[in-house]
Amino acid sequence: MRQSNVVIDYKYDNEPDISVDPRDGKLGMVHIHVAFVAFIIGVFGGLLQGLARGGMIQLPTWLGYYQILTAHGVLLALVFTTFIIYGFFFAGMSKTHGTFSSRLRKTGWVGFYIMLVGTLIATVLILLNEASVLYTFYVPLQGHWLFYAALALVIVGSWISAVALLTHYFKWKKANPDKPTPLFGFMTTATLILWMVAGLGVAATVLVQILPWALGLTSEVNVLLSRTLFWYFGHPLVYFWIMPAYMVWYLVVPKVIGGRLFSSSLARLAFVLFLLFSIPVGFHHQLMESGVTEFWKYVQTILTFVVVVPSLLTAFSIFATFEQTAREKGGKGVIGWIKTLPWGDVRFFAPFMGMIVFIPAGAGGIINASFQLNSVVHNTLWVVGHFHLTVGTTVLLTFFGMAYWLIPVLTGRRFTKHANRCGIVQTWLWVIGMFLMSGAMHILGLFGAPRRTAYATYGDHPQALQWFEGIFASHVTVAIGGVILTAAGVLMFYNFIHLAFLAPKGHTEFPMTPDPVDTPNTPAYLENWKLWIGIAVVLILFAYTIPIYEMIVNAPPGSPPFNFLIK
Amino acid sequence: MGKSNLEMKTSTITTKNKEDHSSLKGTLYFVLFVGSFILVSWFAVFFLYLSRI
Ligand code: HEM
Ligand SMILES: [Cu+2]
Repeated sequence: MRQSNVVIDYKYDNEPDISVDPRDGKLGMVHIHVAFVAFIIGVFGGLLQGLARGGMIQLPTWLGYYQILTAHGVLLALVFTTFIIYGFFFAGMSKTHGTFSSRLRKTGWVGFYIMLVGTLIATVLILLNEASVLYTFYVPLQGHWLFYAALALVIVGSWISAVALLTHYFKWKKANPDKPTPLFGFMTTATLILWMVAGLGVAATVLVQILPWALGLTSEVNVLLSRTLFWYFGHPLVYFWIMPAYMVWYLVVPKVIGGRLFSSSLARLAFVLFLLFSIPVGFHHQLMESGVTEFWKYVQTILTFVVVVPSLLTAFSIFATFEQTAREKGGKGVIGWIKTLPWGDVRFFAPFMGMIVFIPAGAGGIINASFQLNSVVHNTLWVVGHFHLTVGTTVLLTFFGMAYWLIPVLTGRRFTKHANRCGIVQTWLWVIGMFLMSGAMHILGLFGAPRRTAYATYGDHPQALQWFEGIFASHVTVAIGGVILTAAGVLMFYNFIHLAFLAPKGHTEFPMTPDPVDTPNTPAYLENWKLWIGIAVVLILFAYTIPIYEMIVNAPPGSPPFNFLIK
Repeated sequence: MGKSNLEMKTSTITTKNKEDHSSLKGTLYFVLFVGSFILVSWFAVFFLYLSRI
């Protein structure tokens, strides 16, 4: 029964390192270009926010705090993530499922250009201060109608690309009816189905509610319904970020440390659970909101705690993979084996630090989702501290760790020692900066400091003044952390430029862990997508039908637009 | 004769190695740590909540 975790298998050892077809590589790479341009602009936005909130600088009159905050949230949380994820998917699907047909590749390009046009329009409107509605674009704040149309384009473009990727996967499945699909494709499919089902919510509120209202066709908007549809999308959105990061953990990191994932079924099960349970849970973002009865909040809270399970499965799987691999390589002691891991290799080190940060990040998430505790932290800086750990560090460091090899693979260059060294420094700077910034945000939040506010002393209220004075729990610490993070961000952008344009031409390995030995025994039902989509839909209908029905039938008074509040 | 001796040797070595290899003690401590971290931070905020109602 026991199976070796180290790749000793002859077949695997000699497996040629299939490279990505250059035409697919180009499609993957353009996504990464867009991602890093968005990244560096977003980083400078973050710096200005940290300094402005801490009272260390005053923004010029032509640049508003909420304008920058919108750009920062949109460019980093929405644009950077989505584009780098699609770049990863196109590259990985080409490697693991073969070169794309020219028709599907063309579809991928169409999706890319539509997303790009949407992104450009949205960014320009934010920079013109015509859409300072923050990245959640909550009504009744109202931006320019074109901003919402642009967001719809981004969603539609991403769906078109998703269709190209999914068709590629199902073609493989059809051609190989008796084999379980490669893990990369399985996980990509779960993530994209999640994305498409979730996107329906945001598309509904943008197209049916917000656009007509922003165009002046309707005078009022149902705020409760719009927020509900947003969070129907908003929570799975965070899984759309974390699942590709988990793919790097499951499929890339074991290879980098010279091992192999220990169970295919467990990994597939985790991804199916994400698909099923990460959508019917949006109310955990609306626990403090009136208009939703406590029963439905309770139901969705329970489902939220169910979706903690696959994350715990992942933590266990990955750590067990580390330990087994290290021991087979001669690692000893209860914890001493950890020394055998490749600490000097940023392809391992950056995602590993992301995993470590996920411990406080996940614990914070469980706190947020607990009703009473949510009333302590809701809308405070704690929340901002929380998601700078989850998406801002765990997901980002994992994607950085991936970029170090993915970019040279796609550009036909070598992953240089220099880039590796810069990567290790980059990772440390990011972790230290984030420890200061996010740590201080968490504590400030517990002391009541609100999120989404420019510099304010609330009429010199003593409690608000304290937020500027503590040693650690202080806006000043936030700003210092922000400066270190900005340095880390600039270094990452340099790494991107180096690997995309300057590194010497040559071969770089695409580290893809061979499918685990138990792959042929994967139960067939795990591959039954109709079944999983069916169950997901049933769960969504169960969790949302009655509350949404009530929001429409017993609608709260509609709200007129407010488009001058935070400009 | 010699052959079986060798066989014996390798088999003892592999059993020894196997025992060490398949140990997931570190993972056990790791998950216990994660579990306690979650509980401690949860209760810390819970008591803060209680102190404010
Ligand atoms: C240089 C690194 C960064 C710095 C200095 C920074 C700083 C900040 C600050 C000070 C705030 C706002 C606080 C407020 O008034 O509520 C903020 C908000 C935010 N940040 Fe960052 N951040 C950085 C990186 C990131 C990254 C990498 C991401 C995501 C991938 C991210 C996503 C967000 C989001 C979504 C918001 C909330 C926007 C909103 O409330 O509408 N940040 N950041
Ligand atoms: Cu959520």
